[in-house]
Amino acid sequence: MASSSNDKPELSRSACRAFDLELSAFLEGERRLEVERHAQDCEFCSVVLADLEAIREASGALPLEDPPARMWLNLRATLAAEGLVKEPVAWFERFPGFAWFEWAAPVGALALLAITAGLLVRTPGRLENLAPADTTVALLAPVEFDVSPELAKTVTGLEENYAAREAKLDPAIKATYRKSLDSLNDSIKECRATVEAKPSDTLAQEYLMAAYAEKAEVLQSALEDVR
Amino acid sequence: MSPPIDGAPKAASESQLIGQAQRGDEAAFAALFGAYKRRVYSLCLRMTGNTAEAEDLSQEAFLQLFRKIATFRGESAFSTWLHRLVVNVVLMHLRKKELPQVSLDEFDQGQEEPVKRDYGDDDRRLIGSVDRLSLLKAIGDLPPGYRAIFVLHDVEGYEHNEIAQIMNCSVGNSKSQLHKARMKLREGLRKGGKGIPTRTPRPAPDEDR
Ligand SMILES: [Zn+2]
Repeated sequence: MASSSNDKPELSRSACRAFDLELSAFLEGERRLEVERHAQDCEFCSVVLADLEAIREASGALPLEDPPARMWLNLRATLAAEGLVKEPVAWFERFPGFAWFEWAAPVGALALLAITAGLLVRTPGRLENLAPADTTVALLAPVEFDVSPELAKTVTGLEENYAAREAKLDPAIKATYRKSLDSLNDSIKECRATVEAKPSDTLAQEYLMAAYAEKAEVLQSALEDVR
Repeated sequence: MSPPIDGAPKAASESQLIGQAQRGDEAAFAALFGAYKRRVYSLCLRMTGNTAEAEDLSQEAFLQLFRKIATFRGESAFSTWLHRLVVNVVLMHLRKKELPQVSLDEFDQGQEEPVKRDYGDDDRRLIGSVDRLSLLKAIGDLPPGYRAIFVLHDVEGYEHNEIAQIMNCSVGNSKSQLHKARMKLREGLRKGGKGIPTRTPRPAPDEDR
């Protein structure tokens, strides 16, 4: 093997400096014979080269990380509030069994937009006054998954309204509404229990919100039908 | 070549998705988010070294993406477009936070001295294989400008000409920054106590240092 760098410190260091100057190009894949040669001769520089190659290799192999699940919920709510989502998926499209509801889409879609935003940000005040500028700011705050008292009140109001007029409906239609409302109430109860037991369960939170939004849609549609 | 995108849709279906998102289709937004979320978040995480910042910045980047998607005309690959947007969001943030007086197109105009090391003090090999946590920490400790170029090249696999475009600097600049970043990273890893002696210590050649 070649002389250790201790033998001729000055000479060796100038060789090490030359190695340093060419090292970058060598690592870029350019041909630098003097780098290879010096790395064989000089223990210090061979260590540097081995380290840099190990760092490069390890960096290229870093695994991808998953973002928190709440990120999509925040994004979706903001997209809805800004009106970028033009065709929100209506609840009856997500449940093909309820396809008979299609005529109620426009009202329901509106309710879904307002309610999703309201749920996420607990915006006080009336849903119809939900201005996009306000929600954009509010949505940057941490997401709060509790169903806001205002929303709960809104849904309760719709429910009472509907209960008072339900009798006017054709019995077959009334039964169908009742059946889907019961099923949604069950979902809400179940999701709420899960969220309470495990507040970090974002999937349950999402289901809970979806169930509320769907319930509001069904009630809106039913009320339209009574008129 | 841009890096392969984890879970990215095939080109045909991707352009369909983009078209649907341009018309405001929620499912298309969701699918694009699902396809790119890990890559975007990981990039933000590597560039900031902080999970809370990475979450905020990823969210901001996707928001900007979805707001601008109507203007996407397909002149460049969608993934390149998205990555440039993400990098810009992160750089804006880093500039505000850590580089208030330095703009990235003017940092390092070759005025700095070359990377120095202490000859004769390097007789400890870092690693056979670099341990992942130490590496992540050391990347996070790099100065932001170095960190950005290092992450883009060595982690994300971008070429220097692409980095030069993204960072608005020359190819030569990108190369020299990368090398300095790697040397600093090595220094950081050694300081982190990860170096292992390659042989028994001997009398130091420079007693006075
Ligand atoms: Zn040497």
